[in-house]
Amino acid sequence: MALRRLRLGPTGIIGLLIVAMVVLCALFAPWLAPFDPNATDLFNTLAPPAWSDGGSTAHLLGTDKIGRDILSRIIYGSRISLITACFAVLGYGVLGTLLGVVAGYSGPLVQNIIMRLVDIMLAIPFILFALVIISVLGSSLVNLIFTFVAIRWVQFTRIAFAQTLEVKERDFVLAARASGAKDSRIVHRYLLPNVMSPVLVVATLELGFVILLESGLSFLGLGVPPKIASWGSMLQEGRNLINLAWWLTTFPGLAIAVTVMGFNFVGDWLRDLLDPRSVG
Amino acid sequence: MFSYLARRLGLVVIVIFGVMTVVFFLQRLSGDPTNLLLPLDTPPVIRQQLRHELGLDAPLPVQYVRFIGQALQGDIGQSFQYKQPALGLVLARLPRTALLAATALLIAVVLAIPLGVLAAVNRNTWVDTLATGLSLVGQAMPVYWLGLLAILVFSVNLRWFPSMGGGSINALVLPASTLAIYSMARIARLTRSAVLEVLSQDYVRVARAKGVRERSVLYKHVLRNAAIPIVTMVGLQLGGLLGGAVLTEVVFAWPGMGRLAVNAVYNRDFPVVQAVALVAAFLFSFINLLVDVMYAALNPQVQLE
Repeated sequence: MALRRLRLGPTGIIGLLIVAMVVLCALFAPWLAPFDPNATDLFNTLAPPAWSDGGSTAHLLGTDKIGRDILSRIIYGSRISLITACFAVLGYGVLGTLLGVVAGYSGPLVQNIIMRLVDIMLAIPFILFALVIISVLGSSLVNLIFTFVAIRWVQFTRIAFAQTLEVKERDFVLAARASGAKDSRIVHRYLLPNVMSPVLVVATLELGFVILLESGLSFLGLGVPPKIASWGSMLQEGRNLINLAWWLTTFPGLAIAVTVMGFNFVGDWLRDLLDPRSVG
Repeated sequence: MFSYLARRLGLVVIVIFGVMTVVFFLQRLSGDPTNLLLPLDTPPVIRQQLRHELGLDAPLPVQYVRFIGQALQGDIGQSFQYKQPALGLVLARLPRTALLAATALLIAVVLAIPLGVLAAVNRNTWVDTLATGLSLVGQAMPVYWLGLLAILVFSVNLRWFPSMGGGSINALVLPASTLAIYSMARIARLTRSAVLEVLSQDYVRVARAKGVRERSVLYKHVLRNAAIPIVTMVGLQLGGLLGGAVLTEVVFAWPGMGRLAVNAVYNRDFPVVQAVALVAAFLFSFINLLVDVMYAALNPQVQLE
């Protein structure tokens, strides 16, 4: 009964389970990981996964070229992915939503300036834009988060703008204005709450996007510094040994794909839940 | 039609102009390029001379006007690394990237549309579940990881295709296929929902009630009407493909402009990164314009004003 009201289908349940698992991994990494992610074991380098020939149950997913445990690095890597995604999406979610509401509620001049800026930002494919910014700032975790904030806010601005345009003509807003409510009150009290549901859906999908692209930039060596365990940098290291050790490239990528899929599923579920009119 | 085109073209000009402005200010933030061009122990007089030659000692607004003026003439600056015009370097590699992205788009469209239609027509059967599942998985896979897996399976183990190089048709197969997956997933999903939407319309019911054969209903009524959102989506994918091509080119050592951009970032060769971004923005804007015009041509309901 409760499930029906929540409109939770199989994908929604799988998505929530995946997200919960990743969050638990990030929170409790020191207890869950069998080894220190940076501990090297030079007598046990490039050990294959436990079920392959020559593998041992000590290192379930094998070890890398200096004997670090792959499973432990994947568990710790979830921290980098989640930290980047949460800070980045929080930052540009707030920024983009505010700009969108302002654009939707303002006169044509402000509206035009903001929305033309959105057009401009959307004209460069994300990863190329990120390369431009990183080539200026250099690569670090903070710069990576900043890069996402600087480019990706437009996703929220577009949706908040469209939603504000629609809501501001509704009767309750007109009534509030007629009864003398100030603009700031109308924005806080009436516009922002009504913009929140589509924003929440976009935010969930953006978490997946950031994880996908953060790992891509780290794979290029332009994201998180390689000494920190992250899924993207693990793939970068594994790439050079691809014909010797398949497990170095297979498992971190699987972690990314499953996590992104989890966030996408939750986003789709939220869209069904909050906006029953839309068809996925 | 003409005034619509003119207005739309005007918007493209504003966007390109805006992109150049953004890139200019980012470039100024990047610090003094003479630090990269000259050895550390260069006497200040020589450094100052180079700054003068590069026009870096002029006030910022003057530099800005000069930058825009030169960019309009196709001069985006010299590559620090190659000592050649940056734009020329990028344009030389553009055909390779275009080939990769176009092949990927072709693969995506050819597979995605039948998949989406099949899923919609067989709604809630195993065909639908399989197609929807495939597109959900495809949307979550990192393109570069797919590339690595493809190398692992088809180059390292089976030895069917080379893992790198841009010479032959054979070398195109793996990068284009992996790049296609994400777009394929998106297009298939949209095709499915577009076809489902049309299938529930009254005119489809009327056509069936008249006794029109199911095959004709599908080709004459459903697909034509569902084509409109699909064409838009296909056009929008090109921007994503240009972006995804960056990672794919690195994985497969494909000699396109994406790999050029990444190497330029490693070498802090800012003019080249900038040139790639500008060329991509230019391409993307014009492709979108083209899509909008095609959209209007396909859909008689759209009045171009």
